[in-house]
Amino acid sequence: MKNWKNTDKWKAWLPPTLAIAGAIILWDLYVIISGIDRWLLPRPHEIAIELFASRALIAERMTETLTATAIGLLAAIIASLILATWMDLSRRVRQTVYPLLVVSQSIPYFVIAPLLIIWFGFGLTPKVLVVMLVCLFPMTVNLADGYMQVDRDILRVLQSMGATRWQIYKMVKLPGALPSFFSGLKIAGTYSVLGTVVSEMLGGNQGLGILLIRSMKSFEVARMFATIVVIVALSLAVYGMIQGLANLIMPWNKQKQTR
Amino acid sequence: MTALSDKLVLKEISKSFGGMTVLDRVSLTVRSGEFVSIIGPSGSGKSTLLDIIAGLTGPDHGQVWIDGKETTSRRGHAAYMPQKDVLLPWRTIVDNVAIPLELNGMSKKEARQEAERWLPQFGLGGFAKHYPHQLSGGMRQRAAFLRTCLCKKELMLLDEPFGSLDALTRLDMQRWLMEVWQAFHTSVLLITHDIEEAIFLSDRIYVFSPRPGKVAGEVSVELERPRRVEMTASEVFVRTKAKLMHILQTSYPMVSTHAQKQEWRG
Ligand SMILES: Nc1ncnc2c1ncn2[C@@H]1O[C@H](COP(=O)(O)OP(=O)(O)O)[C@@H](O)[C@H]1O
Ligand SMILES: [Mg+2]
Repeated sequence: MKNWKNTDKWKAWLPPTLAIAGAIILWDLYVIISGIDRWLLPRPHEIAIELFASRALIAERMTETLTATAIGLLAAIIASLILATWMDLSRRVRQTVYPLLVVSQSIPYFVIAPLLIIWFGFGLTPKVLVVMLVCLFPMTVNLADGYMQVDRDILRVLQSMGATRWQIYKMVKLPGALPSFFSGLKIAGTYSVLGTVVSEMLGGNQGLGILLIRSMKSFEVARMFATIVVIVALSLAVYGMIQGLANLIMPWNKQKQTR
Repeated sequence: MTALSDKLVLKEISKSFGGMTVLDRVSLTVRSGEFVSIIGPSGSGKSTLLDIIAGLTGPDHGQVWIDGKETTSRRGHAAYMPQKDVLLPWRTIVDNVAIPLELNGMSKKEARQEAERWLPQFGLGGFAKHYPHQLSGGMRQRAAFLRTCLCKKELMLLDEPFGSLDALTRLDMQRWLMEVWQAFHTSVLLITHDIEEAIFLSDRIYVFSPRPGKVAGEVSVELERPRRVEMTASEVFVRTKAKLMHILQTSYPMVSTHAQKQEWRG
């Protein structure tokens, strides 16, 4: 039984692993055959070597980026919980806030980021705000829609038992909307790392964004690529953590999916 | 005012939705410890009536009295089990069943302990930690029913609780509902579209006319308790059924028997 499950997992991992390995081999072959200058495009193993050589520096920058991302995500989670619940309680609030959220999503954040830096300085604040700006829309809208889609019959049974509004949110609405909330969180989480990096690139003295800018300016292409690899890995890790959290908080959902 | 032995009294309940009258001056009574059924065609406002009794919907006219107090549009005075077995998919069976206890202020742990004690008697022993989607329809229905019982209300409103089950499971559930009703000494108002089910279970049966729902007739079932399956072939049973059929037929003016059958299910 267990064995069978393991081979099943294996099968799921095989195609993407092969695809990535294939892409790396093609890349390497291209660099060798075309004779392109190394400072334009390094070979994959050179990136790996650079990643190892600068691991201390990268780890330090990564921690800075991760801190800002985590704080921003956490703040966005709390803000979206409050906003979406408020929108769900009042139709007028919903009608007022919804368009504002859409607007917040259509503001290009690489335009806003420098402004935020002017207003709030180089510290953590502007980065956290950018992450919030990026994350608030998918999370709030998904949660608000999740609230709306909760089974009406379940609500009615709880109401017939004399449940208070707060009890209904705790027992029915919030758990019912969780799957939808988490799909918003996955989108938001994946963008959040990039949001932090971009705001670091546009004006900051910390994080992977700065590492990216500096290595770009000094033509250290291997380091630049190494940083990109780290950014991608970080985004994937955030996604994986959110997925893990979802499985932990919603065991019923996972069992249903794997059945 | 209502008599002391009256658990539920409905006085001239009317309700319409957007100009369409669904219930037209419905008056009925359920006495303490009595098992009463309502039968009537689909669309005759039976579910709407239960909503009104449960306080989920307000009537346009009329009043609901429970235990001698007016409870119109007020919730929490009766245990209500809707047509679907609405269990919360994110709660295990034991936690679903414990909901009314939690709502009554019990701690989550206490509520779970008490709910767990009841599971075996409802044929759910060993399934406490399962999620609803892992259970059969009959088991889900029993869990929903246990939850309704744990509301600990002396009046239970059941909306076609066995409508979606196969014939055998249905028979099991009916027998077992009888047992529970006798053990808990509750009053039951059951909605069904199955005439034989109504006769088998009830002390009294109200027949509703097609929309707008009105009480077209009322029949007492003179079968002794406890009821046994053999009784369904008894003379009393057959006579009661004939009486009910007669009321149903006369409440369908100018509609052929064929069309009647077609409109029946649903
Ligand atoms: N909330 C509602 N809004 C509008 N129409 C409704 C509503 N609830 C029920 N109805 C209508 O009232 C009629 C009676 O419905 P219902 O009480 O479910 O009947 P029954 O349970 O006897 O089949 C149906 O025609 C239904 O469409
Ligand atoms: Mg109905």
